[in-house]
Amino acid sequence: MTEQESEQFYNDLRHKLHDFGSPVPEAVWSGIQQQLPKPKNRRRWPVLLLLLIGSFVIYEGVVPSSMLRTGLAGPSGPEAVSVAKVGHARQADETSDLAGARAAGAPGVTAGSEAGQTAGSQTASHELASASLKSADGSGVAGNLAAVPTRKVRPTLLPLAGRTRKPVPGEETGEESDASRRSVASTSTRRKKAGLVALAATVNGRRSRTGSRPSRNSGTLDAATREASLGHSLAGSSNKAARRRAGRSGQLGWAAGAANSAAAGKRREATGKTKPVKISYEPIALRHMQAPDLTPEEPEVHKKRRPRVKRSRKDIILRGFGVELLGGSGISYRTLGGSPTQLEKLERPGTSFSGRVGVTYALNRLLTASAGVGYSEYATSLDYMLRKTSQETATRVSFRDVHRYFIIPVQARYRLAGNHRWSVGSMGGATVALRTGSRTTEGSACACTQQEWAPGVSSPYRSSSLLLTAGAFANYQTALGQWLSVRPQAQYFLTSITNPAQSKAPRRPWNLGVEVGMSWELNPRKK
Amino acid sequence: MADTIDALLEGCRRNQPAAQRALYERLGYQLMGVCLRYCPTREEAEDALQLTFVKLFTRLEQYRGQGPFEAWARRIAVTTALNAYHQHRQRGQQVEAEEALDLAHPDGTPFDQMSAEELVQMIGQLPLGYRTVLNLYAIEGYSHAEISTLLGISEGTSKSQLSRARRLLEERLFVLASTTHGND
Repeated sequence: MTEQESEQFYNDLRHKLHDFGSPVPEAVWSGIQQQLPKPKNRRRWPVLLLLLIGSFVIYEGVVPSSMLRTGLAGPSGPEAVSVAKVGHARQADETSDLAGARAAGAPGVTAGSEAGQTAGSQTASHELASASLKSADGSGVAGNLAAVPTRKVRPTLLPLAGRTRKPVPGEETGEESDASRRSVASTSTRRKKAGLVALAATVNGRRSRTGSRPSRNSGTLDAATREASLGHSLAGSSNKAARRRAGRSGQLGWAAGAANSAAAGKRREATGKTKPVKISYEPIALRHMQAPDLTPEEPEVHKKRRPRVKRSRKDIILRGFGVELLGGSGISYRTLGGSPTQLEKLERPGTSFSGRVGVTYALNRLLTASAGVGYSEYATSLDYMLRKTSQETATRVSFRDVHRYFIIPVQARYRLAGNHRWSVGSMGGATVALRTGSRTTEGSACACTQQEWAPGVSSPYRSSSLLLTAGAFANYQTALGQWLSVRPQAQYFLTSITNPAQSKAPRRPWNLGVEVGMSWELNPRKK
Repeated sequence: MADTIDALLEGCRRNQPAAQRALYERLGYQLMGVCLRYCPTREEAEDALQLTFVKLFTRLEQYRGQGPFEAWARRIAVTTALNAYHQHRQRGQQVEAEEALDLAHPDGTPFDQMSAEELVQMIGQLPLGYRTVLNLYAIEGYSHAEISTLLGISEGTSKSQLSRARRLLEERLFVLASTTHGND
C-alpha cells in the first residue's frame, strides 16, 4: 500500500468516526457534580425572600377568611368556590422559558366553569392562579410558581360579571371553552389587560435540556409538571393525590387543603347529605395592615426621689475618720553645731526605724489630717580603729549610737491626683519626740565603750524635741475603705537633741526613709 | 434557542450549574465517543469522561479562545483518556499482535459496510498501542512527533505501530466483508 493509499485510508477512517459519540449515563454527571466546587448560594436569598413574601400575600389575600377560620376546610357543598379546571396551555414557544412556558404543553390553570359543572354548583369563571414547573433533571425538580390574580390587582377570588351563569350539566359552552383555553402563562395580552401581578418563584434553578439527546426524565418530568398545576390539585382530586402533588411540587400548603375541601365537598355531594352553603362573591378585601409607627415614643420619665437616708449620729461622727498603721526604715544622720569632738566627726549615717499608729480625718476630698503615736529610732554609726599608744596593735571599734523616741506626729496630707481607687499627694507635719533613751559612745577616755542615757536631769540629751516631716504619699485602695500607703519622707529635728547645759555640740538628727502601711476608713462611702 | 458556546462558557466560569449542565449535554456525547476509542472498557471511558469535564470546568480559565472550544475540550478528553493507556502500559498488558497480512481492501471505502459503533468496536479489539496510535494519528490528527511525546515512545515506534494497526484493521475489515458477502 502506497503512502497515498494509507492517507486515504486514514481520511476515510477520520470521516467515519469524526462525529462518533455515545450517550452518557446520568451517573457521570452526578460524579462530575460531586467533584465540582459547590456554587455559592449568596444569590438564593432574594428568591427565598420573594417566595416568602409571595406566600404571605397569597395567604393573606387569596385564601378567604372563612377558610382560615375553618382551618382551611373551605367551602363545602356544590357551591365550592375552589373548584378549578386544569387546562393545558397553548404550546408555548421554546424561547420563552419563564413561567413554565418552556416546557412543551405547559399546564395552565383556568378556573372553573367545567369543574363547577362537575361539582354541580354555580360556575365561577375565575382564574385563580397558575402554577407550573419547569422541566428539571432527575436530581432536583425546578418549580416555577406563577400566581396570577384576576382583573383587579387585589389577589383574591373575584367573580367576572360577564361569565357567571347557571351551569348546565354536561354542557360546555363556548365561553367556558374559551375560558379553559386561556392560559395564564401564555397569554400576554390578558396580562396587560388585567394588570396582573405575576409572582414567579424558581425553587430550583436547574433545568434539563432535551436538545441534543433524549432525557430519561422527560416523561416523568412532564407528568410532574402536569401534576404540579395548582388547578389540578384544586380540581377535586383525591386527598392523598393532592397532598402528594402539593408536596412534590413545593406548592403552598393551602393547595392541598383546598383540594381536600373540594374533594370533601364532592364526597358529601355524592352522599347527598350536604347542605348548600351560600357564599358571597363579594370581593374579599385584603386585611388592612397598618404599618407600625416608626417614630419612637418618647420615654416617660418618672422622676423618683430616692428616699433620704437618715444618717445616724454615729455615722456622721465616723464619716471621714480612719485609722492607720505604719512602719518604716531609713537612713539617719545628724548635723553638728559648735565644736564637735574628733569622735563625733567620725560618725557615719546609721539605720533608723519607726512605727506608729494614728487617726486620720478627711477634712475634705483633698485634705486629710492625721495624728498618732509611735516609736522611732535615729542612729549614727561609729567604725574606727583604736590603737593605744603603748601597743602596736589596733582594735577595730564598731558602735551604733542610737536615740529612741516616743513620737506624737501630726501631719496633713494633700491629694494631688487620683480617683476612688488610688491617690497621690504630698504631706507634711510636725512631730513631738519624747526621748525614751539613748546609747552613745562616750563616758570613757578611750572612747571604746558605750553608755546608756535614760531620760533625766543628768542626761546630756534633751527629753523632748520637735522635728519636721515632709514627704509624699501614694495610696491604693485594695478594698472598700482599705488603703495601702507608701510614704517616702524626710525628717529633720528643729531643735537640738543635746542639752545645752552639758557643753555638748548641738546635734540635729535628720532622717530619710520610707513608711509603708495600711489605713482604714471607719465609715467608707459605697460608690 | 440554544445558548451560544460563549454564553455557556461564561456561565461555567461563574460556576453556574445550569451552564455546566448545558455544556455537558452539548459536548458529552461526542467526548464520550473520544473516550470510548481510547479506553479499553466503557467504565474506564466513563471515568475518563467524568474527569474530562471536571478538568474542563475547573481549568476553564486556561482556554484562551484560540480555536474552537470543542477542539480544546477534545484534546483534554484525549489526554485524559490516554491515562488509561499509560496505566495499562505500566501493567504490561500491551500485547503486540502479529503483523497483519498485506491484504487489499475491497473496492470503495472500506468502512461503508459498517456503522461507526462497529468500527469503534473493531478498533477497540486492536492491541492497545496500535489502537492508541491509530486514534491519535488518523482521527485526532496528531503528528508522530506529538504522538511520541504523548505516549512516551519514539517516532519510529509510532510510525510502525500505526502501520501495523492499519494493516491489522484492514485485515479484519476484509474478513468482515468476506463474511458478509458470504452470508449474502
